[in-house]
Amino acid sequence: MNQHIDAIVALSAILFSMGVLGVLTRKNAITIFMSVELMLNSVNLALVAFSRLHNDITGQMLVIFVMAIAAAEVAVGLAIVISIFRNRQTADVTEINLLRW
Amino acid sequence: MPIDLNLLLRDTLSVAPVLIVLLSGIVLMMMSASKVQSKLLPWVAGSGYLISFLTLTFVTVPSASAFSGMVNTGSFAVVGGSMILALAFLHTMVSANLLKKDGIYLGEFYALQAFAITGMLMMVSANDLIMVFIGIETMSIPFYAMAGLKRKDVRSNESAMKYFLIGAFAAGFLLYGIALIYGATGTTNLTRIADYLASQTPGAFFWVGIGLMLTGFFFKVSAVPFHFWAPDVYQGAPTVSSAFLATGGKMATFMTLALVSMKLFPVPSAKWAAVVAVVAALSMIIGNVTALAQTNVKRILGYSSVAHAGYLLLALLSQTTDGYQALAYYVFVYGITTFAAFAVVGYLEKDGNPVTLESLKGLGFSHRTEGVILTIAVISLMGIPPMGGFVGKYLVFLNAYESGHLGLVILGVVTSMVSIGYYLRIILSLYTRPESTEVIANPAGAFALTGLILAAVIILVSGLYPPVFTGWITSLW
Repeated sequence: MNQHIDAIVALSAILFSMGVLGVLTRKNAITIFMSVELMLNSVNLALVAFSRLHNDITGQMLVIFVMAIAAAEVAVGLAIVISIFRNRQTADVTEINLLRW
Repeated sequence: MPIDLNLLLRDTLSVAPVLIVLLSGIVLMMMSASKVQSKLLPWVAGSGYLISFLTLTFVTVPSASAFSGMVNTGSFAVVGGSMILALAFLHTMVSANLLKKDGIYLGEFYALQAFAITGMLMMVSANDLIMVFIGIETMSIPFYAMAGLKRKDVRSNESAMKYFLIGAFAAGFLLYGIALIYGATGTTNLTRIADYLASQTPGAFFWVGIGLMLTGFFFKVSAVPFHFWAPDVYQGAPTVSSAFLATGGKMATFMTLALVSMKLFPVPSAKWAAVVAVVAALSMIIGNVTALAQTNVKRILGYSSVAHAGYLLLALLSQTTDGYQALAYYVFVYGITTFAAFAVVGYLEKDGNPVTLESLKGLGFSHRTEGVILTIAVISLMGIPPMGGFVGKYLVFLNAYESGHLGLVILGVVTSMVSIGYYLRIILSLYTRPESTEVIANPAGAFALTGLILAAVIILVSGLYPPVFTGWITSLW
């Protein structure tokens, strides 16, 4: 297992970059949010791999917290998207641009 | 492993201030779900913060670690925690009438605020990157909701969504940084990471982790180039929420950044300072210059918060105790000042119309007390004596100069001069006679005025006799 750590960390880095790219290029608020979730889950993958590498439980413990926090974020985030959709009938972030200089 | 009940009890008692705020949040949530008179809610919230503040400052807990090194009590946690609680108390005094005016249900707001403060208190007492992350998220998630509390208002919706998407994005960076630091050092405990750094030279992995974590922090404190959300959020959110997001959030996040820097680098790190210096310079320039072009007062305050993030970052350059103490003093005064400014703007708002430099005209005559308080706050933000903002800037610049960052100090002074350009326009608007004599009557109410006057007194005292607060910070350190 330990000889594959590099590969797993590389995979998590690729997933993280995909998440960042998704956030920067997508227009729909829900898709952006899914990309953020991808970023958080790539971190989980890295944490589990490091936890195995160091033979230490801390990383796996943090993974549980990350999942709980991601769930809380989903609850608030989707509520915000619903409230904006009710008022504007869109979740496209390029059309939601009242506030700018 | 058997559980040592005595230890558990001792640890639980040592974080009592956090638990009191959490409990008052739960009580507030329950009260708002049942049909209790909403008049009671601010009293419950305020007394919760007051009890927590008194426990934190007067029940002396020795500086010790609790919960197997996850939490550090005493000293730093007391400094950070009591400034946050003092701000929260003032905010509770001022906010009730503002919430009613905006048509926001009090129970929702106060419960969310109490949970956010729980997160802030966790952040400033952290001794582990896991605690830092959980604290930041416990603070941020209620913040997203607080920004969107005016559900029918599209601007409030938009600001909540921007805040949420950017905040979650930033959390991803912060977390990936933490994961890489964990991968490089094998621990998330700040003290043990520092031990690791003392015994061996960290590789590229560690520094990439630090960089990603700093990126997350820069997003949260709205430093350039990660600042673009701040003016939008502070402008669009209900003013009563902005008054807390822009101040409490900044206090807690900057204190945590100082905490992380202090614990990780007992020996100053040139790499850390180099990154912070670039971001500080950009924030000071772009924040101040962009603010010159704004006419909406809340937006000006948003850009001013970007600029002040730059000044605050200057205090992190030296990585000495003096620097961290200067930062604590600056962020305390900045928080109270910006809070006073936002709160006054909230009371001068009429029918949800934005307060612009144009609509401010003449309000200094019709609302004398509010006008004077806004003037005091704005002068303090400029950094002109005899207000607290001057002493804060002086301490920060002095520290940066002593650590050999003369260029940045000159830049700081020059950009402060530039900032007078837009701050002065607020004061001029306040005391210009308007063409039309339509006067907006919107009295703040005695209780809110007391809170605002208290904030103004803090600003004045911190400027006229700084040892009150600098002595308090150094005695606890």
